Amino acid sequence: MAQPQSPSRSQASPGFVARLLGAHSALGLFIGGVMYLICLSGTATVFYEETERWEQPNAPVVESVSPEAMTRAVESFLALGTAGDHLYITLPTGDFPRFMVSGDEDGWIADADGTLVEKAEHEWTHFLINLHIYLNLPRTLGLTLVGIAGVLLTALIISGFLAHPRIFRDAFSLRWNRSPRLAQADLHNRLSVWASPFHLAIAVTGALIGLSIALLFVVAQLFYDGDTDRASAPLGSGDLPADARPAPLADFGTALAALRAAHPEVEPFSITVHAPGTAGQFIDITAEYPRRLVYGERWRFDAAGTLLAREGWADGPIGKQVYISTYKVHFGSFGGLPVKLAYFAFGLGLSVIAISGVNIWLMRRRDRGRALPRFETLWTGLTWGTPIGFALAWMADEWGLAPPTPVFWAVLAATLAIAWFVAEREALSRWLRGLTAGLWGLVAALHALTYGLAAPVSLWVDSGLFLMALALAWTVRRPRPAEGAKLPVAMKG
Amino acid sequence: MPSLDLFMAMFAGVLSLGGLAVLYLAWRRPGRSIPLLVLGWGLLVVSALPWAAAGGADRGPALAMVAVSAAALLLIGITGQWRGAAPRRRREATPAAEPAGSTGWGHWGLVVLVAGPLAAAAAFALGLPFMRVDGWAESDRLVASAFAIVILWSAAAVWVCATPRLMRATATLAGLTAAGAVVLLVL
Repeated sequence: MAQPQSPSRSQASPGFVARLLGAHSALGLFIGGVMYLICLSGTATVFYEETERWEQPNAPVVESVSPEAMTRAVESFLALGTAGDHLYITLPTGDFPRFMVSGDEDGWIADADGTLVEKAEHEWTHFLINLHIYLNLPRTLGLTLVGIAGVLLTALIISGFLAHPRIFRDAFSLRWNRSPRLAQADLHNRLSVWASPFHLAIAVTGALIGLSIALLFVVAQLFYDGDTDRASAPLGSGDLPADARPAPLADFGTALAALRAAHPEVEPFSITVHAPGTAGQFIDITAEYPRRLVYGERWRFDAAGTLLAREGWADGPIGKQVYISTYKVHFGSFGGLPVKLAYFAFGLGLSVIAISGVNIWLMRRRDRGRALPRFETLWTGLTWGTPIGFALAWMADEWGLAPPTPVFWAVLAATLAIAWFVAEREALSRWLRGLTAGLWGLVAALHALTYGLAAPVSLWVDSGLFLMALALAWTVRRPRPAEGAKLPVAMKG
Repeated sequence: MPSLDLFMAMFAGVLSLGGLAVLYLAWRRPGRSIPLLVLGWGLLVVSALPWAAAGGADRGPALAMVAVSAAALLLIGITGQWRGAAPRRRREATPAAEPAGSTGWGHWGLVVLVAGPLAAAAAFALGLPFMRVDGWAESDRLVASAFAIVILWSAAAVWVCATPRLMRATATLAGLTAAGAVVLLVL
């Protein structure tokens, strides 16, 4: 939706460029709002390991765990009778120094001795993840819609580059002191160009992940007689035949020791016991290769801890490696905190691109005397109602008032309803920005008061939230001189 | 082995930042400087090698892209014109961009149908024949099909939204869908 910043001197014909620009506008208007929700929730999800820890900051930090402690934790968990068909053991790593034992329904955080300390409660983080991956819809529908959004984001990237012949010639221009429309266009285009590797990576991997169910369904129908398990088997082994007769719990300690002895270069982070306590049980251990993009490698053991197979995610066919690399590429978990911070910034940038793209289109209409004032206020409502909803969802969950998902959607709906009836767009934008800043400052303060700042994750996250709230408040206090009455509030997003 | 060879990463970082700096200098010059552009892009491309040595064959170049993107945006943030409104120049009066073609609801409803379900069908029909390629591992076929479908669908969506001849695009996509289906049946 951005415009070229000067008449093109390239070889592309003006008609061709105008048509592509029109296509870019149409695609952006069609998907902009949903894209913004996916982008903003995805931005927060980059730090999902940290926000899970932040939700229970005083749970034990564990650097390593002995086989005896693992056994103790698992026995305690199984005694609760909530394991279901799977037993998951999350081993502590540098990125996630927690020791957890989970089943199909719930999980517990344990200390280094294997004592179950507290139930894992990460409702708010899981709400954000579900919003990002499923739009809080039923899973197959939501995942497919998010996959389609990935396709359209890819289309927006393609059309954006084709529609802006000067995009490289203006590669370093940021003229924030010019007209609001040019400022927004520069911001939109500079973020779009220089973060394009990130945009393309997350768009394509997001589309692949999102369309995986639809794709596997079609492939299964056409090539595997409708058997989706066989269709997906080339990418990851399925379950072994079940045998429900009772048996002693699988010896995951022996399996883990065997793996560590054979592959000291990897870092195991997850053990899954399938059908625990039955004669058909087996063990999967997943470990990370620190210098690879692949999510990990998986080794399968029988109940006695004897190696059955290696998945081949790290050294199998290239397609398998590419497929399993989509996770780290999409979520930015391949370079520690620096890459996560960069992904967070790029994610915020992509959210800004989604907002500014529609803003530019609205400004253009206003400049040509065809303003859409209701659309402008609604767009402002969506822009700020989303982070306001995130904050209130956390508060409602923290105080046990309501689950985060309905709270978020209710807040967003209320914000849009208010925006519908507010005629003064400038005031609406300033008011909502101020409310967003205030609520996030309040979240940081309440969290710090409730849990203290002794845990490093609390100190860092609360400080980060507070600084972001301050920065946002600063924009409310000091509007740009170039703005004012001429600039509709929605233009500021 | 550590996850990052710091010495090699520093060398790679210097090359990447050097490439970026050269591109910035080229941009600052009044005319287009092909040698500087070649040098800048060349340094960025070449820096992928030490990045790969520093962080892994696949992970290193990914780290390079993150580093270059972040550095470029930081540079733009630092050098941007943030204050002191300059006189509005003629070039700021930019051409308008409206979605192409007719703006009626019927037209856009058809665009949604053609860029959505029909373009998806064409992308699946043209991407799925990768599943029939001999000599490839099953996972390679599956992943190649998936990538092809995503890229083809995206490209088709752009084309449908941009073309002034929507009916021709519709017919073409329908034809491609049929052709792909025939290929799948025959192979």
